[in-house]
Amino acid sequence: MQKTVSSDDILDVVRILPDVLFRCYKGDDGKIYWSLNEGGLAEEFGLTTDKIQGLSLDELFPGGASPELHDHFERAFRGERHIFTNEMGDRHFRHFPQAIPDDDGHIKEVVGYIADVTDLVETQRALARANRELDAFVHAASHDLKNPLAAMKNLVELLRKKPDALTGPKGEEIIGRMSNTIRNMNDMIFDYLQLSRARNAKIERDTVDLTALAHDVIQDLESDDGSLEVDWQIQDGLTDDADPGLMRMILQNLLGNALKYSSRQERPQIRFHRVQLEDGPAYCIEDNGVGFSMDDAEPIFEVFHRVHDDFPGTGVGLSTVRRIIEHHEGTVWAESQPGEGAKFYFRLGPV
Amino acid sequence: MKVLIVDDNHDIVESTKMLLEMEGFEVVTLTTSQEILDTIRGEDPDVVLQDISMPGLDLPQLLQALRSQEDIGDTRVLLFTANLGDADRWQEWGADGLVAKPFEMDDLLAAIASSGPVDTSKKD
Repeated sequence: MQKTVSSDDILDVVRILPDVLFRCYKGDDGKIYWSLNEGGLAEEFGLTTDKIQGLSLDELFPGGASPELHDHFERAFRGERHIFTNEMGDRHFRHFPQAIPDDDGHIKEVVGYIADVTDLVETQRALARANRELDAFVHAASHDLKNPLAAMKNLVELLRKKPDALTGPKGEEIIGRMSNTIRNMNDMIFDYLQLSRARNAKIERDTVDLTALAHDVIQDLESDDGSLEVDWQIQDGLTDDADPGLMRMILQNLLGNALKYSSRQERPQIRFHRVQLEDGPAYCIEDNGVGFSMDDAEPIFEVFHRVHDDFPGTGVGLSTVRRIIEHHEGTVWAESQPGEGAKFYFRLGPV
Repeated sequence: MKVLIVDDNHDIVESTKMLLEMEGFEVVTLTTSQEILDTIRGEDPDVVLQDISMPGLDLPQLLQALRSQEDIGDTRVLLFTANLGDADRWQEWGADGLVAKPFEMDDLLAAIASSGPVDTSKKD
């Protein structure tokens, strides 16, 4: 036997929808009144049919409906096929209204569907932001890569014009310049890839022996420039939960910077330790190097922002550090004064 | 003839210096944006090859300051740039020419030798 379906049966089904199905009509006074409003969103906002039946559009909202919303509904009542999205607080609702003409073709009623598209809108905005950042990055990276490329071109041109130069007294210098330029270009590409890895990294936390990791990183740094005598002070027993591979990147960048910017001191001093601040513990990497003005303390974390043109660098490292630390839900910040050394503080999670 | 190269990229500075020295130029270099005017005054170059984007450099301001100097105000300045989009106002800023990186050596030599405005990026 076939079961007949009543209006209540249909409403039962409608109520399990996460969104809203509605029905409204034009009153004799020209205002728009609600006759039906059901679904998960109606429930969430306390705007189900039993609560709002007979209320006008303005009465549905504290302070009345916006002129834009009135306009959207008026268009629906004119029979326009018109899909629109409106914002309420931090939520976004997409409306799919549809006019229902009566037998004479007059539109007295509009039915429709309202979906919560907040996730979609936020994803679209994040995507647009990521695209803008990517554009800026490609623009700046291609600009920076042109420098070593131009230098290589110069050297090749020099050899094309004066092939004898290679066997002459300048030969060694030319080859040295070439390999230096290639190394710099390689460093830049390496840094860009690290930044890209940091952007997309999935954090897999594990217990990391930060003291041992720091000593390991220092060994790598010192093998690059063995001539420098540095007073390293690495606190014993530092361990934390972090992604081991990404934690290495953080220390490579922060300890590497500390070494670079203190390398012109007679006795570079670099310290990595845990400190107790007013709002909780943090790690601190400090050096006695050239430092920077506090005006630069925030911009130095932006991609390609460089403070010291007399030190080599790609302007990418600190931005990589910040990305990684933000992935850990932590924070990183800097304190310094020109000539007074620098302190970089970080936390690997919320306080 | 003496050329001053001002660029924070050491690879560019050193390779351009070698090239120009081979062509018989006297070359001095500066890799920071500090003391550019003092260096011009001290070295008295015939031509300055000036990178347009260096940390801490306000190029229009630098050129304005240079042009207002009595002794060195008419020094020929060619802008070095890897990014043409940033540089299309070079004439307005008071530079004598634009040399796009990477450049052809012959273009650079022609730009240095020329006495009028030059723009190597506009070459067909």
